[in-house]
Amino acid sequence: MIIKTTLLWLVSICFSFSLLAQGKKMEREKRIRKEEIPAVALTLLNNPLGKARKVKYFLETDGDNKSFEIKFLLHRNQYSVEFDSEGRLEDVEVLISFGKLNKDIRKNVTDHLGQYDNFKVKKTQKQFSSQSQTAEEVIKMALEDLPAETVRYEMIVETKAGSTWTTYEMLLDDQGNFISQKEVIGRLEDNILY
Amino acid sequence: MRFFITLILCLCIAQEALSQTETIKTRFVWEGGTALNYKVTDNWSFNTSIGKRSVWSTVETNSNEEFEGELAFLEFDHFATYRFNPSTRGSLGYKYRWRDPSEGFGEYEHRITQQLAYTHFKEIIRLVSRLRLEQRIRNESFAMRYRYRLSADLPLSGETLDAREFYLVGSNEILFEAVDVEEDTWESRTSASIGYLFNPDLKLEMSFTYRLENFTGSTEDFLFINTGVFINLN
Repeated sequence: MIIKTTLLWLVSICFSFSLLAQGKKMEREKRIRKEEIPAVALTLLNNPLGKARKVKYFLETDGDNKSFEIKFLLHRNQYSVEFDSEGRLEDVEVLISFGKLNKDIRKNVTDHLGQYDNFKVKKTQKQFSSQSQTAEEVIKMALEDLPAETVRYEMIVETKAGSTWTTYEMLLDDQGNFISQKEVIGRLEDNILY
Repeated sequence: MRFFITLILCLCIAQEALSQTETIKTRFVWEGGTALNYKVTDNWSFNTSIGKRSVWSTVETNSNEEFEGELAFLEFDHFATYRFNPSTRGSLGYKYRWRDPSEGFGEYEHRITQQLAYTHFKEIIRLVSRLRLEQRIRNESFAMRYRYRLSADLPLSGETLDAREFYLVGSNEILFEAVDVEEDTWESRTSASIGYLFNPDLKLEMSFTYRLENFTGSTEDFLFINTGVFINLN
């Protein structure tokens, strides 16, 4: 009996593995060592990283695209600096509280979210980038909270429409006007719920 | 003379055989399961699983030691879960457990479950509080079981759990059991697991659980090894 049930168990595992054959394009974020980050990116952040705490390095892949991210804590602010595969700066993000945003920006955001029956802003990041300014200037403006050429807000928002809750990552302009959104799929809970 | 020698030899062998005692020591309990998870509507999802438990022991005699496994039960579970909001889930479940399959179909167990789970995040750590109420019906008894479990899981690579990455889970559960034919008991279950996400629809998990049964009375402890396959059909 025990041999039969063990075999049945193994067959079900094999059946599960056959699902692996399904090819899906997957986004991945992986923690990496400092040495794996392009040197040009590390040079750009040489000064702030010297004073920063909790520095973490990540590699992000999305199909064929590859980017690097460095996260650190500096002067009690959580920064996230993203570089392309060559080490060129893409943007700098700083974690902020939604409640501390300018009143007019908050109003624009809540006006947009008013279309839903309910919503909760879970996370807000202020994003600094530029086409014309140098990478050093963008990093300086982000660290000193000065107005860069392009300022945007990235928010994680839980929205309720009817009885259904959906989580989105929303991109808004410097005045809090909606630009785009994509749905966030959370971790599955089946292993921790039952 | 030859007859007496043969007789003495036979008596010695018989004595040796009679003096052999058998000691059974439970080494560990293995529970294996495969679960299918599927969404029915935006807020309703079902979880169906099959599982088994086998008890692995060493059987020692004077001259021999064998490692044996015995099937303790086979089971079928089904849960219907409603998502109230991104953090709160309510579930209703039914379990049928076929106990001691080697003895035929005589021993059964039905279990009806109601549970509420609340999830929140502390940075990359996901914490889940689960309050569970169970009615357990066996051939010979009825039990009400009250359970509370706090679990935490986190990805081991990066801040999100992506495909082909490992994750860790730790949990502790306190269980109170009121049985109609026995004394009430308290139990503690502490568990540590490692899991691997092959792709968004498939993960494998292995855990070690230390169970301290009846810890306010004549305490017994067991080590459980659990293996699970989790398949998402959406």
